[in-house]
Amino acid sequence: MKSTELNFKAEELLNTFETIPNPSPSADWTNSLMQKIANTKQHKNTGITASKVSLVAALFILLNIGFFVRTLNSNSTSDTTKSNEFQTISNELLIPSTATTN
Amino acid sequence: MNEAQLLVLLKQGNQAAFEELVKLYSPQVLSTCYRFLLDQSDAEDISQEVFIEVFQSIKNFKGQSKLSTWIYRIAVTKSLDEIKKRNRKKRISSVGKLLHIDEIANWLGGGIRPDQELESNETLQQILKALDTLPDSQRVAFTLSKLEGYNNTEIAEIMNTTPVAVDSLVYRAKRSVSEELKKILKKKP
Repeated sequence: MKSTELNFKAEELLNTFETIPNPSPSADWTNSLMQKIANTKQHKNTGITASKVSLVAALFILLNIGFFVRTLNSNSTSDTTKSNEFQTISNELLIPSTATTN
Repeated sequence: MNEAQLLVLLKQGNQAAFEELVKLYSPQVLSTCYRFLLDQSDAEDISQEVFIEVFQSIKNFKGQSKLSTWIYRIAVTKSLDEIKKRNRKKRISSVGKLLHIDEIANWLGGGIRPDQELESNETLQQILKALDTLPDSQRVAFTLSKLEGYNNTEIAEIMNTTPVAVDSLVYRAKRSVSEELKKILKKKP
């Protein structure tokens, strides 16, 4: 193909692009869009419920962790008091080593 | 109803206002998407996505640009995304074809999809091929400049640039597309 012919054909293609007629939407386009938007709304609401459920679950887990930590702390405190009591009893029962030596 | 009043109602989630917005802007949005994609069915799908995005994000619209500019910007972005998706599918599909696994290539490419409608229209295919070689900014400026309803100032607003820059982008794009079309025509038997 000659250069002038190429130029002409390329120009013709460009003109085709410029003169492409604008499409009109198909008959169902608006209805289908409104339906999709209604679905989006529904999805949004479901999203809010899901976030509420996860918030409640997180709160429940936090409460459980708190309860667990509290139980651990109270156990270690009572252990300390018990060991103190044993120490006192053993001190009272044991004869000091100085008493046996003469 | 002017744009400000429409915007207030839209932000309140008024259904009738949204229908009015669709009625007002859908012809230009559809034409814009079509000029980028050159496929009626794809253009319809993408323009629906544009309005869904508008519906979801209208509360965040701060009014720094005109409502129409904002909507057309969404249309341009979504169309460019679709072109990228299409080209990615084409690449995957052609790799599959190279490896002689046509069924897998078809499946990966999303069925018969890439440009099935365009197969019959060689002219549009050649134009698309030439446009694909342009950088996004040149493609947007060139495509919008060929559409009725956009002047250089509006294109500049959509692209966040100046009208002078748009002029230069259109000029360079036209030169590149013309060269690319000549190459395509030369290769043609």
